[in-house]
Amino acid sequence: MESLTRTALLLGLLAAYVAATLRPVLLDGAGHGFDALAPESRFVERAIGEHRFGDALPVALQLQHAHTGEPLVAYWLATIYQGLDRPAEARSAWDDFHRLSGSTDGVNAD
Amino acid sequence: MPPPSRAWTAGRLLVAGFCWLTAAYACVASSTFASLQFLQPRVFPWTGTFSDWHPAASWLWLAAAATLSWRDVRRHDVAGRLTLGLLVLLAAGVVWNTASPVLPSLAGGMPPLVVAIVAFAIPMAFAAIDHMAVRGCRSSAFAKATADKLDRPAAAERPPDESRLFLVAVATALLATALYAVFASVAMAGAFEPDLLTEGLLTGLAWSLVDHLWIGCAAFLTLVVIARLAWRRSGLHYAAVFATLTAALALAFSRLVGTALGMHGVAAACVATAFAASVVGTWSGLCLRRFADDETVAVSPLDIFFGAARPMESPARSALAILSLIALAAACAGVARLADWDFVLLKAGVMAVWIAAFGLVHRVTTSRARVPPWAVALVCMVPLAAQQTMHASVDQRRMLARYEVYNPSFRMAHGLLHDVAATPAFDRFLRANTSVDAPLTPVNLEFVPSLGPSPQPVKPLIFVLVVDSLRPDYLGSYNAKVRFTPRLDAFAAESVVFRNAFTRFGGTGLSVPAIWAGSALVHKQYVQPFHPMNTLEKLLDVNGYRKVVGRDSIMGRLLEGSPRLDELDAGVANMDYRLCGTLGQIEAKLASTDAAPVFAYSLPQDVHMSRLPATVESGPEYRGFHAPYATKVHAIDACFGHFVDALKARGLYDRSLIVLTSDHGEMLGEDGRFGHSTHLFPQVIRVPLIVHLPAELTRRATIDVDTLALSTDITPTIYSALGYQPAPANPLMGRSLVAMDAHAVETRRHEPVVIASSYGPVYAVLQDNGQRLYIADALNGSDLAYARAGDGPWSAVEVTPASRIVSQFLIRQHLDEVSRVFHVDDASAHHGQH
Repeated sequence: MESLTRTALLLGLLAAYVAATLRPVLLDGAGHGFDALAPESRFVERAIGEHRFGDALPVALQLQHAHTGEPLVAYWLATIYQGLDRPAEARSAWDDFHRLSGSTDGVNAD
Repeated sequence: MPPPSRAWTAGRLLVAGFCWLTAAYACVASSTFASLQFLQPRVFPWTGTFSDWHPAASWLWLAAAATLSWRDVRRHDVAGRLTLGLLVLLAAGVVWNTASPVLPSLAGGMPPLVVAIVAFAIPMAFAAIDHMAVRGCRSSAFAKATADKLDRPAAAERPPDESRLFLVAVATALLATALYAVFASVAMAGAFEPDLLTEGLLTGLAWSLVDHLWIGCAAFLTLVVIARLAWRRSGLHYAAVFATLTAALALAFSRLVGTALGMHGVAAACVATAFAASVVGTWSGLCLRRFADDETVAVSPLDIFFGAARPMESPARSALAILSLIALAAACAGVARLADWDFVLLKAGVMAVWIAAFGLVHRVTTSRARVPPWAVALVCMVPLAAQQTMHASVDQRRMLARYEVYNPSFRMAHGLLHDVAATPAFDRFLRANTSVDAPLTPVNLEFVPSLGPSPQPVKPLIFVLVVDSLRPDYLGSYNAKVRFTPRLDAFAAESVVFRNAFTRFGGTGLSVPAIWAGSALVHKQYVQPFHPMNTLEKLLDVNGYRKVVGRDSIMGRLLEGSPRLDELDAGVANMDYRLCGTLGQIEAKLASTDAAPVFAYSLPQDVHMSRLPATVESGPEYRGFHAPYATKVHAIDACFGHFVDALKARGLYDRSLIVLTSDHGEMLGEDGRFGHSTHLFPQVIRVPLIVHLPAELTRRATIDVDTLALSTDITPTIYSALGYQPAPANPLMGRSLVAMDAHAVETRRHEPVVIASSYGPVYAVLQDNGQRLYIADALNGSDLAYARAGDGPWSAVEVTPASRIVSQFLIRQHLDEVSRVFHVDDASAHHGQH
């Protein structure tokens, strides 16, 4: 009986160590669902890179709807609106980016 | 059968060592960049010697293996027949290696990995025979261990030595902490470390203790749980310990060596496993033979790996063992200090010390006292709880970063437990876009459509001197504290000093091709033929220049089949290129009667880390500088001055375009780092860029020396010097530094620039005219940020979520642009990448 108790204790401790080791990996796997490398995200970024802002906008808006708290999407929208010469919307998206990312370091959209 | 002598054991280790050295060579050769940058140019000459003599050495090795195995061959059992078969196979392999030497032919791709696995497999085969031979012995260690337990029924209720193992694990952690704490104190002596005063040292020591205890307790729990589950069957218990040690070593190999060489995927896992099984198998096989044939009793499999307890060990012998441990730690640190790659050798040395310390403590610990379960639980919970609750403040993180510099064991332990990739998906993206395997068709890069001869009647002489690893802050024209570069400073005073210059690639492998192309390039060594992308060579050819060029291992590929090539440093090994000798040759070639204008290029290695003396007599003028490096800079200063004098004496100076720059900088001990490796720290990416313009061009040039300049701007600047108006065809290409209008200056000051390591998935973003730097290191799963004000020193700053989001977006944009320009996606789709 003592042996069983001791085995259980040791197994429990080992499990705690394994859990502590794997925690960051598990947390990453159970993330907030937004993937900057998913096909839709890559489409938006490639379109921005090729200055096809009109093509990027609807997909970016869809992603914003699906991931309201994602600062990268706000950054895309700021860039896209800037490219489409819609300064008011760009400013609003830019404010969203600052708010969502907690930015205080003067990162700009250039 | 008599027990194996020490000489026999040493011989077997030598036989295995030859295989491991062969495998190590093959592993390095599996990386294209390492093959091209280290093995082929023979940066470390012994690697070339080893490759050259490998076939001959193989025969000696075979003779040694056969001699050492002879007593097994004479056995009339399965082990004997297997030994004979193995020797026949090895003989066939050696004949093949002689007819067609394997090592010199290895250069990237899968074949080197296959060679590495085969080389690792040979000691594994010998180890398998060792195990089989021991099984055949009546007095095997297993049998002894079983008999020992059967003789003591009271002990059979639980696995033996559980408390001893606990004490060994904890004592090893404490020993490693204490040993390296002393080591750190000694290493810090005399250093100015404001972050490591009493509070900083105590913080470092506390974290070091927690991290080492964490690893010790984790090892104890793993081994003790295995023992609990498998101890009743000694063979199973041994196999489980063998597998655990193999897995741990394979993981260490993968994280230390595999990542440094860019090895990923199934093949990399196979190599790591083969390495670990080869080492663990060889060691256990030799130990088993010793146990089987003498009177020592093994009571647990760990006794076989690390030695049985020696209750009668004399204090003098124990003291000697501890001294040996200290010597091992110092030797490993010393070797790593001479030549290392992103701390691979340093960390491997720490691992060796940890294992040796465990073995030492394991042998001297004989306590049979039972440690109560609550005490085990308490001690094991302490580091776990501490790790979960201790969160370092910004100040403490800075202290710990400095403490790592002096305490390699803490660097290793802290890295194992705390270096978790902040953005693993992004890291995978970087890896997928680095060292592209897919065969690529060269694209045509051009600054001038339909390039024709220059309209200028008189063409300038052009000299491009790229001093490998030269740092700007070791030149008086960039740093007022420098007093050892008077001739270079005088040259700079007559030239344009671009004060804010950066390389486009941190590492020679891609930095030099980018200079010739005048463009950031796809991460591949190399797209062949390179000529369509070689905008500088096309310019020289169309204008009839005589190219006086050192054909090093890189230029050989960039200028393959190039016409009008007048070779510099012919017959000299790449790493032996010296500025003084090269400039002397250029001077001699200028005396030639050939009427063609001269273009000269060289990549002298005077200040390369591998060519620095270990120590120099440090003069007062080097105080505050890395003296071995400074003394080499001082030496090239004199030669360069002599060359300028010669040009002036011939009346050529005023019609010469002279570019003095470097392909990248160098770490000279900052944060304990040396060399450039895959680093993109400010010290590595900043380069000197001093351009002496022909007098005629000086009059019409518009120059802003404080605007960010890139190494890829050199070629378009040469276009301007020849009277062209170069225009970059895409954002990856450089701009002329002497023809920037206000708009171009404004654009350059605001546009972000992405810089890449030549040798690994490490990328950096420069913003705000080179005032802010973000580094994404997918090798180590980390990111860093630096900032500076004006021309001031760089400071490490926090990576904010916003800067990470924007910088990673900019890197993706850059890599998308690279894919577009160089058609990477198309090629990869056909090649099955991405």
